[in-house]
Amino acid sequence: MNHATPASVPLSPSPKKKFPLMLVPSALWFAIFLIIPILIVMSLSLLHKGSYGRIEFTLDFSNYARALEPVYLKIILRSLWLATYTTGLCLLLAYPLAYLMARSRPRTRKILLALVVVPFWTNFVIRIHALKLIIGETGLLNQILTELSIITRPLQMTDNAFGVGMGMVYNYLPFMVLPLFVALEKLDFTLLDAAYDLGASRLQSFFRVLFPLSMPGIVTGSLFVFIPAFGEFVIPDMLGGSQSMYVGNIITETFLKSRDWPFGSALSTFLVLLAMVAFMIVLSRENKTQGAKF
Amino acid sequence: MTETLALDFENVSKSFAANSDKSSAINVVVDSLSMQVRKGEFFSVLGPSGCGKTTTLRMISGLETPTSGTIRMSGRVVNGVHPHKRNVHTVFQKYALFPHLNVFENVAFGLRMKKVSSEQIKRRVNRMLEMVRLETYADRMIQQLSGGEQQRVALVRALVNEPEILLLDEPLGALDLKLREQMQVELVAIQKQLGTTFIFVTHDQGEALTLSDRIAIMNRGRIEQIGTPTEVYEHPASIFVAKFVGTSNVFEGTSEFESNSQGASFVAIQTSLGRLRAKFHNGNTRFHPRDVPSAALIVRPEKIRVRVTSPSGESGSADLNSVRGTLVERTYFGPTTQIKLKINDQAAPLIALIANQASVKAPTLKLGEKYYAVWDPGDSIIVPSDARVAAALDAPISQPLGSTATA
Ligand SMILES: Nc1ncnc2c1ncn2[C@@H]1O[C@H](COP(=O)(O)OP(=O)(O)OP(=O)(O)O)[C@@H](O)[C@H]1O
Ligand SMILES: [Mg+2]
Repeated sequence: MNHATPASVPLSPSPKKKFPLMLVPSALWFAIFLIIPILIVMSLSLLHKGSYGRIEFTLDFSNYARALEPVYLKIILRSLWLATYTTGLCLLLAYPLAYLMARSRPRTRKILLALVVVPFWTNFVIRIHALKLIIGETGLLNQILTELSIITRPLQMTDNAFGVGMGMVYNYLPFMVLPLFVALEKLDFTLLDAAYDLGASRLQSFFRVLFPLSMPGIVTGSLFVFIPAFGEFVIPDMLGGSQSMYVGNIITETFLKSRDWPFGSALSTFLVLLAMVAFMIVLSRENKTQGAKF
Repeated sequence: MTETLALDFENVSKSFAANSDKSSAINVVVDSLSMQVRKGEFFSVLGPSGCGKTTTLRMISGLETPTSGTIRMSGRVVNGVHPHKRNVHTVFQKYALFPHLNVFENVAFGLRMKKVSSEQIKRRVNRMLEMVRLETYADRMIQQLSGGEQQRVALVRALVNEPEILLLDEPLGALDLKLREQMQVELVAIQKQLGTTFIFVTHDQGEALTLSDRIAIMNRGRIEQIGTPTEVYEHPASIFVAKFVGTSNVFEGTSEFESNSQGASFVAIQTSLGRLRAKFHNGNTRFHPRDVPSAALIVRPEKIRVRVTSPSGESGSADLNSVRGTLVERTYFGPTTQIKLKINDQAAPLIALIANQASVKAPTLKLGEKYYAVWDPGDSIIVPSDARVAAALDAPISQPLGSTATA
């Protein structure tokens, strides 16, 4: 994110720099657990499925053709939409919180930070179940609303798209809050004073100063949310009901139930490519807009 | 007459909740401050770090709302008016230039907020950049500028909006001496050229003396004196002012009225150096000793003459202040030499400044030798020991501006 300007670039000693020894462990890690598996998946996607989930070593592009069939395309688009609105909602909710955290006194800040992080101390599945206890058909919220005679029949908040959205935002919010907080925390807030001083209203100072300067945090947070949200399958499974199908669910089912590894790999490859494209687009825009340099 | 006033502070106070989370104490940062600034004036606020200068400026720009009191601009009460609705712009203490915008866009920011047409923005911004010789830097990012260049961008970013009042918060603080002096000259030139009211905050007394039409000297949230550089230097109203502006010898004690056989009257202070005198009522003593028993006598080092022999016996010597002490320090400044005479163990050494003029044969002063320090009672200044008493006395002398605006 820190695209340096010519003046601030420390001259690198020579282009043929030796590979730093320090990077060896992480490079090995990446190679063994990321690059090699992706390569395996990519090669699998070009093979043919035999009977009983066996894999035949014949070149076969039909997996990709199948992945582009309307049924699957629709699901991919639905997943994209899910990831998009999850990112958007998280951003809307996280920004004020992160701003508040960045501007509050150290003590208040620590408390708020703890509130954001503490849910991570419990297991992910337990957290989703807890959410179900609140928004489920016989959940706390419905009980209270019925008790108060605001509603007569329980609201349907789970086993549908609403439930999925709730679960997604609930789960991914911290991934947005933390990078935003980090970006806002090191921001010099006298710049906002300067904007007011120069005649900017609150809204103008937000869009002209605060927003562009917190762009690195927005970009990081959005990627942290968007990419995993795109492939998410547990939350739709638990809160979306039986009909809810997202690309993550399809992939798990293809691998585990239909045992069609080549097709599952094709879908996965597709997912990886889409995520990469999204990443590239964001990064290139970030470079163009001369974002904040800290 | 109010329209000649750019700014009018009437008993303005500002308190903040004290920083510790536990106590509910409040911290009074600006304490019933009253001051009036004329249109087109170069007005300085001088005071030590933490005395409330920035807070005062922030109340003028609207970034802070006074806890009590009234602030008027051109006669209009502006308490609580949001900064973007005031025609006041600030050069911030640390410049606060926008790091995501280039030089041109930084300067254009205020005009864009006012929806000025883009050709006009171009013209006005370029004219301003030319004025501070930065026209070739328009496309640079802020990080690519030196401190002095950033300072100039900050200055024109505020000035391009043609403010009624320009607030400058220690704008030269970060610059080296040479650049600082150069910028001082430029600031005054720009101020005279544009006729804008400048309110200039500094903790550098030399800077305040050379640049300002008038200076307000601030200490712990209060103003101790407002006056022209000469008034403030020649007639300090309090011990603090005397010590903060220039160098002073200050001796505290009890004050008494005294008159001699020729009918001349004096204020005499019984100090640790003995009895010292000041002429009564020559502008240097503003009160009768019976009203303010506890007072201090101040004498500037350059008013003191250093002698080898006692002046007693010379004509008119009876009223002279004369003390004898051992030379403990001698510092050569080029045009002048500063010496310190230790009079006794109770008092701080007396500081005297001797001009190294060619025509006058400077005494060859030796460390450890005893000398006389002599000065005229007319050169002594008497102020009350208590700063609050001093402030009360100072008030009628720096009269409301309305009546002296043409003076
Ligand atoms: N927002 C605030 N909350 C609490 N205390 C504050 C606040 N702003 C300023 N203060 C306190 O008010 C006092 C005066 O601050 P101010 O910034 O006005 O000083 P200053 O005269 O500009 O000092 P300097 O020359 O160091 O810039 C300081 O003690 C400071 O800690
Ligand atoms: Mg300050």
